[in-house]
Amino acid sequence: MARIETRFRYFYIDSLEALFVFAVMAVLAGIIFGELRQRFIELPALLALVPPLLNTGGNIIATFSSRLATLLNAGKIETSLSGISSKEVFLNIVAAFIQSLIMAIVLGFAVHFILTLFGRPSLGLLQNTAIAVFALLLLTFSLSSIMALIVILGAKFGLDPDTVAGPFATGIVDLSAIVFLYVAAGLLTG
Amino acid sequence: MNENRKIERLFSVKDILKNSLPVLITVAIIGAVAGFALESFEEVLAANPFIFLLIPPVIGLGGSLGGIIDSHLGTALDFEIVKMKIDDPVIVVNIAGGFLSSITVFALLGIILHFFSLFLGTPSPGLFEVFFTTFITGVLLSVVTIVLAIFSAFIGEYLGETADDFALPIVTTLIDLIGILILFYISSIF
Repeated sequence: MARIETRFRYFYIDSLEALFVFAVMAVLAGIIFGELRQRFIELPALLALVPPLLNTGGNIIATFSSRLATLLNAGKIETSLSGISSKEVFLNIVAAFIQSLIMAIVLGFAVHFILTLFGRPSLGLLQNTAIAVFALLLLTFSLSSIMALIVILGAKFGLDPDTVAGPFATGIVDLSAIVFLYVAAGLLTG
Repeated sequence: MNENRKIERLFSVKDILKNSLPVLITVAIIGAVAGFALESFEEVLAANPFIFLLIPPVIGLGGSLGGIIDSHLGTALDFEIVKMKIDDPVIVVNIAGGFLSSITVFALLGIILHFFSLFLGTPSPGLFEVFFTTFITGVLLSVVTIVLAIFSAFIGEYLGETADDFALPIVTTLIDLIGILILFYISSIF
């Protein structure tokens, strides 16, 4: 019983700490979304790209970080700078890039198709896809390397790689995805 | 599966793509439905811009909680320190700790966002309204998230996929969709 209680305290505090750090980033993401809202109000079809882009980017970066966490727990990656430049990390970055390219095309098509199906205005197949590709590749390029650093070096300083892989990964993605989407839409819709 | 082979799959580009793409494509389609849901609330958003601030934290926190539980259970299942039973102590601790930590953060979220909005150009509907909207959304979303996270971690393990590649993406995407619907429903009450 005492053992479970200790585990509960560990889990509650561990989870609270992770969610709290995430909440700080998510509040910033909310503020950024609020500040950039004018473009989304003027181009409501752009709103339809927000959830899939946030979660596809979040999934790619979180599963990327989660695989690194498992490799770290299994002792396959060292918690040092040489761990970051290892073959295991490089191959995971390559996989994340290919995932991003394929998924951006899929979600550009999916969003256009669903909006059109329900009679809502879409940005058009080409523009939707171009914005998704530009935003998602920019996101994967910057965040895969940042997350590799945080997961691997964080473990060196005692941070639980499993917790870091979840909340940190999705927090950073939420924070930057809206900005990347705003930039991509600005460049591609004029 | 042989333990070494299981670890090797975590840095093989071909295996990562083979395991993740069917899940990611499913996720992109559910994400596009979430996008359609958000776009269909464009008039509510234009009339109540404060909801822009709530969207990333509300859907992100649900996804994060799912991520923490999935990540813990995924590692525990991979290393066989948890039984696939709902009364296993590790599962009980995940449910109780996850729920309490989540509603603690949701309780603070509304208060923090309300005070931030005082310094920003996004008017708040009031402390009471924002607090109850985020708190009740948080309670409902946490329950849904925990059920989905545990269920999908078990399914992932049962189907023989590594939980890292399977469980996390499905949970976070469904939470995005459900989170948007709960948020707009609850905010219409307050």
